Amino acid sequence: MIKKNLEAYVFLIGSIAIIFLSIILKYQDGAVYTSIFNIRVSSLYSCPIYTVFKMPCPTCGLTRAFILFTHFKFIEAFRYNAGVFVIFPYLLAQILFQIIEIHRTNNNINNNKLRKLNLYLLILVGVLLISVWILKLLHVLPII
Amino acid sequence: MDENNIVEEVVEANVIKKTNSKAIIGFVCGLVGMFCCFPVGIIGLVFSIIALKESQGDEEGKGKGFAIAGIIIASISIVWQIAVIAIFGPATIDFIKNPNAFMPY
Repeated sequence: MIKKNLEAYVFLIGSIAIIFLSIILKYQDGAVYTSIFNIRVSSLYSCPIYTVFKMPCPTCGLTRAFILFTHFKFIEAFRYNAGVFVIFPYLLAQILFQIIEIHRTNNNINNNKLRKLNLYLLILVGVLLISVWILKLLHVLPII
Repeated sequence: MDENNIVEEVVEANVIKKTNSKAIIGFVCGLVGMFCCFPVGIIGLVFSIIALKESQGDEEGKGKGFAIAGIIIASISIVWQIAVIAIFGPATIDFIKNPNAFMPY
């Protein structure tokens, strides 16, 4: 059953994991920490694009934006990456979509319309994320 | 020519032979992994390997090219991210600046 719905399960678990992680992590003093043991995690990873080219990639600041967004700090989240206002609802929609898709596939119901709608949503999110990135590069939106 | 044969031919001609969706996901994830912070290349590699295995079982091998391209691109994106983090990452820079902090004894 999992093999039959592999993509749906990956997207479902991935979406839940991203939202769950952004809830349990916290952002303070310019670094990301775990809520429980207060372990600093942001020093372990950096954006390769920013490290080499000294310019932000489309997803730069998204981790911090997600953490702040799930802690209801919307203005700060907007400053780090405005794309969070598009991606967060998309992830919530993904959870719903994938549950419906798994249910429909198990009952041998045609999923083509649902998949098409999901694809259009993904393209829309991608275009909006790139638009936010271009606005950042043009300094219309802040680069942090 | 028999009418049934004509109908069968038309139906066969109109059958859309779709590319394996896992191959496309793998390819796209590998490509996105090259240009963003998140290590989505790993997801791309996993999907591409699964798609390649599935296409080997399929007679027409639909999506085999996508799967191979996905494996190559995802591998490059993973190596690129690991290399950059290993060479220029904050942990390495901290270690270069102050090696004693990492080896107290």
